[in-house]
Amino acid sequence: MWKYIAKRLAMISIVIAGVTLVAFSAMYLAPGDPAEVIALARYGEDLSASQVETLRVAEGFDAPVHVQYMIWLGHLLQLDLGKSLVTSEDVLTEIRQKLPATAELAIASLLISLLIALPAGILGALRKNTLLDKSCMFVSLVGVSIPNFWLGLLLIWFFALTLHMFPSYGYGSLKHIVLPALTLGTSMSAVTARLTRASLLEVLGQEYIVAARARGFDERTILFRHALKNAFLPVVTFAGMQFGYLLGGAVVVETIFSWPGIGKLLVDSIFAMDFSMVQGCVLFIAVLFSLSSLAVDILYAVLDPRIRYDRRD
Amino acid sequence: MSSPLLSIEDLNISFKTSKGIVKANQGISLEVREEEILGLIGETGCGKTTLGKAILRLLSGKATLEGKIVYRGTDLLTLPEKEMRRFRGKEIGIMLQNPSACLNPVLSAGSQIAEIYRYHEGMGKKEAEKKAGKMLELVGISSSRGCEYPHQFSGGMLQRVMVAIGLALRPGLLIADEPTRGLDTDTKLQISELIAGLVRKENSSMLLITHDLEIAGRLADRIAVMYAGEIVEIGKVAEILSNPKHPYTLDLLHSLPGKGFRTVSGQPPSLVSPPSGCRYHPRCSFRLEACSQVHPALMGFEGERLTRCFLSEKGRINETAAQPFLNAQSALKCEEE
Repeated sequence: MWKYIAKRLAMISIVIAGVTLVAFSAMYLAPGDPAEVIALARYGEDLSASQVETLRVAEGFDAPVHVQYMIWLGHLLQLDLGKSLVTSEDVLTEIRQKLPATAELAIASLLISLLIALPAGILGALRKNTLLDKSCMFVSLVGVSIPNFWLGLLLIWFFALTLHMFPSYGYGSLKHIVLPALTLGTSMSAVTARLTRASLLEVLGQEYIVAARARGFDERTILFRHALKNAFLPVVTFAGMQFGYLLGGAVVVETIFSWPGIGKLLVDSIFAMDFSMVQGCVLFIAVLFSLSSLAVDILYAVLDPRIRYDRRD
Repeated sequence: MSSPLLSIEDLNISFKTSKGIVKANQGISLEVREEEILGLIGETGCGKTTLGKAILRLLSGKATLEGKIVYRGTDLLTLPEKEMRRFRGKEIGIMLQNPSACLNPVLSAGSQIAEIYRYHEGMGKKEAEKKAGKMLELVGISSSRGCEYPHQFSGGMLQRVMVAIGLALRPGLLIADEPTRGLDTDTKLQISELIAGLVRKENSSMLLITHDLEIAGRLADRIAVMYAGEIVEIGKVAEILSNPKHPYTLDLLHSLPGKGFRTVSGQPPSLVSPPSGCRYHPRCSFRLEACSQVHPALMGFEGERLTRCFLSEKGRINETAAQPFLNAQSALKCEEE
């Protein structure tokens, strides 16, 4: 088990090393001279060549690219992501401030999606091809097909503007989280429900289910003890990946609901040409995603003994 | 003669498929007596497994069952599902084919035995685990391996776990479906002797479903031969092996490694549209003209012998013994060797 986790961690560190390279080079892949672009953002349209040069030296853009990368990496190892090029705020502090909002939204959305998807998927599989199953799957098809931005606006129009039940934007109270979490949760639940249904159907067709029935167990025992643990294996992977994705900030939904999370921070930084902030965000999101996939791997091993133990005999 | 523990009366099983109706079992009448091991033999796809599963009503919803399956006076086919569950495991244990598929991969071997005690006998966790450990010891597995998972066991060991599960509640009848398939010769003998020994010790009965005539001959009291969904011959082991009345039984005997190793020629017939007349006639070397037209009934023969063949009445198989290839006498001789 520990060997398994150590292996995963080693793989994650390779991924993160790759991400640092990509995050860093993004600045040079974007069109234009970084120093000039930043100067433009800072001082406005009428800037002089000397202003650009001063900035270039001050921010270290005059050094060769690989040297810049090494310097940046050195700071990174000391957990120093630099300062925002626009606001001069510390990048890590800024991200840390946005993290709770994003995490809250991710957890709430995941909960909502599982609360919808698991019962719907299980019921669909147990009552296969009945009206109940078909309506569940139809709703989930609709759920997959509706884009988030539209569903978000629809929810705002109905719950905020018409019913005045929940605020349409902002952050702070429990009420604020309802609409964005509902938007993300319902759209996520659609795929999860289908996956749960398909996976459970496959498991229910296995010989060990017939064998369990042959031991005289009732269908409830068979479902809860023999079928679900197996059926949840792919669902755990999928839901975990979705969660990791959400931790990186739900860019569209955070923007629609003015949710002060990492997704919104990233978008704002991109528009402001705040390279160091963008780099910090990308790196941070990658680390979070990797960690959540590690969590999925561990959970998977807990559920499935075939992964937990190395095959030796 | 002991009274029947299980009696199957005129059982028909069919499946609706896209290719037509598969008549998997046709007019099956069989008895398993108290303290008896009945071997059910036949080639793959002849309907043996279907019959075994049908006894516990484990076939999918697509199967149609007609007839009677009476266990100790109760017709299992008329029971509501809830009542049927009391028979599964407790009265009739079953070891389905292929243990690696029949054990849940995410539950430990011990817990899959223990859950039977917890469910049926309402035992606490500790007590059930202890009893499961004892059961494992009984089938020759150290109880310390109870916490291991199915993928950590070898094929023979998995089959032992299946034996432990099948016999956990000391059922009156054990249905063992191909318990020796895929095992090497040594393990095969060990496992089959283990099962038979435990069944005899408990004074239980067993329906041993196998394609392996050698194993059936070794363990069973009586043998029923199945061909294309029908019983073609039933009799005491010694009689069947030394004096097969049905040409199919004879051909099966010849296919044994020690007895010529000649495979039964031709392909098993389709169960959607079985051959007219006797189902074995296209592959039979003794066929008469009538065989392709008239379907022979299962005819009583001396004592408890039943055979579904026109020739058996006249003892024609023995008369044609002079044939060099298919020779009942040679089978007899081989048996004596």
